[in-house]
Amino acid sequence: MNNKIIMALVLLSSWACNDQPSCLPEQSDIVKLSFVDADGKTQNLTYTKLVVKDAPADFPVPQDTSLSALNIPLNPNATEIDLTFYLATGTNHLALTYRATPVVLHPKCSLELRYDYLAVKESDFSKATIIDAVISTETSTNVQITL
Amino acid sequence: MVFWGLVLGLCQQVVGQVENLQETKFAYKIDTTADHKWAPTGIRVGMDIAGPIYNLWEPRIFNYEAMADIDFSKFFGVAEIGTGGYQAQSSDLTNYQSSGVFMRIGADVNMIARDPHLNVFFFGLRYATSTYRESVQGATPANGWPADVKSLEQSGSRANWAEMNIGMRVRLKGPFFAGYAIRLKLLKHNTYNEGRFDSFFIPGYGVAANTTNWGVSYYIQYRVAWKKKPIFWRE
Repeated sequence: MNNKIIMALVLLSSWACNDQPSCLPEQSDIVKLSFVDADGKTQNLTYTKLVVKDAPADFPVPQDTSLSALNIPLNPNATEIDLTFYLATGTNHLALTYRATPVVLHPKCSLELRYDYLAVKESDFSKATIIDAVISTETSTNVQITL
Repeated sequence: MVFWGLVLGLCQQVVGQVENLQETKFAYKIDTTADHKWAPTGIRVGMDIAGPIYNLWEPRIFNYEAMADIDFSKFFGVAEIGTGGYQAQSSDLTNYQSSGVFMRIGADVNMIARDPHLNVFFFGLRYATSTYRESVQGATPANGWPADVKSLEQSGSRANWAEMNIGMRVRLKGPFFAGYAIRLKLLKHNTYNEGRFDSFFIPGYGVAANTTNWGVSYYIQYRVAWKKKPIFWRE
């Protein structure tokens, strides 16, 4: 009887070693921009059109043209994203660079990409500051843009 | 609880044997003033069978290793070397492969050093290093951008870590021993890869993202002895 209990415990223990990945995504590919005024207070950016360079026709660009925050998916096949905001007074260009590193959560899951080393390459705005250079679901703002 | 009960039972059995013996085929009595107690008396070599058996159950992971130890009184110098890796299966979404070699060196202390049959119940420390190469092929999430399939390789990846081990080596018959080692792998450091992708599996260590990993080895061993071992007899 005791042997059976021991065997059951061994089998239960070995089952615990068999890792079953959840495959829930752990990485984010969304860069989060927020717009503030010179005093650092939230301010809406109003534009007539937003163009993301090299994006396909069905790229998910926000339909709202007055925003205090903007979320844009990063291109997994590039290391740079170029945004052009068409404003009433002209155009403002913002170029960000980043690194996309493949991450194997588990071979049973799809490959993921970790985005980090976010940096401002070019900006026509008064100021564009990197708040968090790592793209993650926990970050509220990656780039703060002063209008 | 059952496990520790078994361990305690074996220790008591061994101690009981010691109390009734003055000399065995493998050891003889000395007192604490003897000056030759540190001289090695034999080398034990062994092969792990837990890795190949585990591979039958989990074909993704392979691990083959050998070990050797040499005694210095109640201590052992230990070296372990092996090859291992990870091979994704055709049903997996990401085709990941890792293979390489690893080595551990360290020392064990025998907590039943008065056993005249030279059985060992040990606690040990190891310092380990692994060198490996990896490849990965898989589709990346696109989220509005054109989908892409990455196919990447990197070689010369390496990692170091420390281990705390506990286990036993029990004489089966004559020079043949069998025993296990339970390993807590921790303090991973000095990791390096070419940065093309994150390492997933480090041979000898396990899943790279974990700060600690557990491991088990089960060795079949052969001890080459050139003289009897002097031990402090329990009076």
